[in-house]
Amino acid sequence: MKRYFKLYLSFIKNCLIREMEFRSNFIFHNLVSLIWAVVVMLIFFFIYQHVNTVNGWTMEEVLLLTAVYFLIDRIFDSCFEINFNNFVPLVNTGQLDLILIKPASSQFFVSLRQFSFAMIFSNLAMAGVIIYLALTYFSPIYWWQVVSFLVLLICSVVITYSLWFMTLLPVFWWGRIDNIQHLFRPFHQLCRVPIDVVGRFKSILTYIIPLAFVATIPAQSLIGTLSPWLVIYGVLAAGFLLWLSHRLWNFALRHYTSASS
Amino acid sequence: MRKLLAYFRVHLSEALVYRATGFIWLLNDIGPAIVALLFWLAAFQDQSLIAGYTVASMSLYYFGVMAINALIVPYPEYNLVEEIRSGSFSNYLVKPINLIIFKMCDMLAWRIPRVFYLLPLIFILNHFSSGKQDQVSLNLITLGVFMVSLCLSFLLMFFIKMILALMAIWFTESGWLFFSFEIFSSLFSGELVPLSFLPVSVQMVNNWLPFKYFLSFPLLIVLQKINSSDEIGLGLLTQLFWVILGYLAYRFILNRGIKNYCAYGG
Repeated sequence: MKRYFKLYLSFIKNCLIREMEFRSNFIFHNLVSLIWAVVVMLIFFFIYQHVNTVNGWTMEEVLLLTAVYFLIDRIFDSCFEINFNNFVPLVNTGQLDLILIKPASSQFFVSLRQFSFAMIFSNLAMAGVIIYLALTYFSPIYWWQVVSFLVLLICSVVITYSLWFMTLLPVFWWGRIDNIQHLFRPFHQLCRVPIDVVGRFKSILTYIIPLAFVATIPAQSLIGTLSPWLVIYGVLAAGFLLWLSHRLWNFALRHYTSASS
Repeated sequence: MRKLLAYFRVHLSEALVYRATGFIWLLNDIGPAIVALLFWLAAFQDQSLIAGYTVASMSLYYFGVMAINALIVPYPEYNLVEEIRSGSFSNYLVKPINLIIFKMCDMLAWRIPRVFYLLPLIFILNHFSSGKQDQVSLNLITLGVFMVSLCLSFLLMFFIKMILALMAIWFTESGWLFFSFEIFSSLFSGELVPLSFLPVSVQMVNNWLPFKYFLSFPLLIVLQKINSSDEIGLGLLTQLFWVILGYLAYRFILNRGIKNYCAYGG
C-alpha cells in the first residue's frame, strides 16, 4: 500500500511539472471548468423563478445538489477521466504491453497514471458553495451529517470510477469503437438532477445501478433527508463495484491480443 | 459534383463502418436534452403551465433540441485540430481538395446513420413522456422557412467551429477554447433551457448575437412560437448576416493561418 502511495505521489509530481509547462492552458482550463459549473447553477436559478419545487426539491436543495455533483465530477475528472481518454489508444496500439510488464497493478496504472490540475478552481469554488448553502439553508448541520457526507463523497467517486471503468472494457473485443470512454457520460449527466425525476426507475438507479449515490444521496446527507442505512448500502455498493471492476479487468486482459500479434 | 459525391461516399462508408462510434456520439449529443426533459416532466407534475409552456410544448421543444443536436450541429473542429497538430492538414493545401466542402460532406455523411438511431429513440421517449405531445399542424410556408433557417443554422455553426479549429495553428492547446464556446453556446442557444427563461435584458442582447440562431430560432419557428412575419424576416436576415460574416472571417483566418502553419509531423 505504501509503495502505491509513493508511486501515486510521483505520478502527481510528474503531472504537475508537465502542467506548469503550459501555464496559460492550465489557467484557462480551470476558468472554463468553473464557468460551466456556474452556468448550470444559473440555469436552475432561472428555472426556479417559475416553479417552487420539483419532486419536492426546492431551489436551495437543487443548487446544493449541483454543487455536490460538480465537486464529485471534478475530483473524478482530475483523478480518472484524464486516464480514460488514453485507455483506448493504449489497448489498440499495444502500448498496454509496457504497463503489463511493470511490477505494479495494471488497473492502478491505467486508471491513475495521469492527474489533472485543471479542476482546482472549480473544486475550491464548489466546496465553498456547499459550505455556504449548508450553513445558510440547512443548519444546524450535525457532525454525523458531515461524516456521512464525506463517506458518501468517497463512495460516489468509487462508484463513478467503477461503473465508468467497466464500460471501457468492451474495447478489448471491439477495438473499432474509439470513443468508448464517452459511453457512460450521458448516464452520468443524469446525476446532475435529483434522481427522483426518473419516477418508477428510481429504485433501479438506487440499488442496482447506483447512480443515485453519485450526487443525490450525498446531497441528501447534508440536507438531512437521508436514511442512515443508505450510507451503509453506499459503502457496500462502492466496495462491490470496485471488486467487480477488478474482476472484469482481469477477465478482459485474458482477451488482450496486443497490437502486432 | 462528381468530386462532391466522391467525398460524400468516402465519409458515408466510414460512418457505416464505425456505427457504434456514431451511436455513442449521438447519445452524448442528446443526453443533456433527455436529462432536461426528465427534469421538466417532474416539474410539470405540480403545475400545468410554466412560463407559457405546457408539458406538451416543453416536451416538443426538447425533442426538437435533440433532433437539431443530433442531425444539424456539426463538429468539424476536433478532427481538424488533430490534423493541424499531426501535420496531415498539409493534405488540404497540396492536393486539389476544397477543405470546406470536404469537411461539410464529412459532417453530412455521419448524419445519415443517426436518422435511423434517432427516430426509434424519440418514439420510446414519447412513450415514456405519456404521449402528451400537441399536434403541430405545419403549413408549407412554415416548413419552408424552418428548413431555410435550419440550413443557415448549420452553415453558421460550421463556419464558427472551423474558425475555432483553425486557432490550433496559433495555440498549442485549444481544447479550452472549444469548451468555452460550447458553454456559451449551450446557454445562449436555448439548448439547456428555452431562452424565454433568461432575464429580458440578456434576451435582448442575445437577439443580436449568433448563438440564438444555432438552435432556438429555427426551433421556435417550427413550434410556431414565433408567428409574426416581421419577426421571422428580421431573424432570417440576422441569421444570414452572421453566416456571411462567419464565412468571411473563416476565409480571412484560413489565409492568415496558412502563412503561419508549420507541418511539424508532415
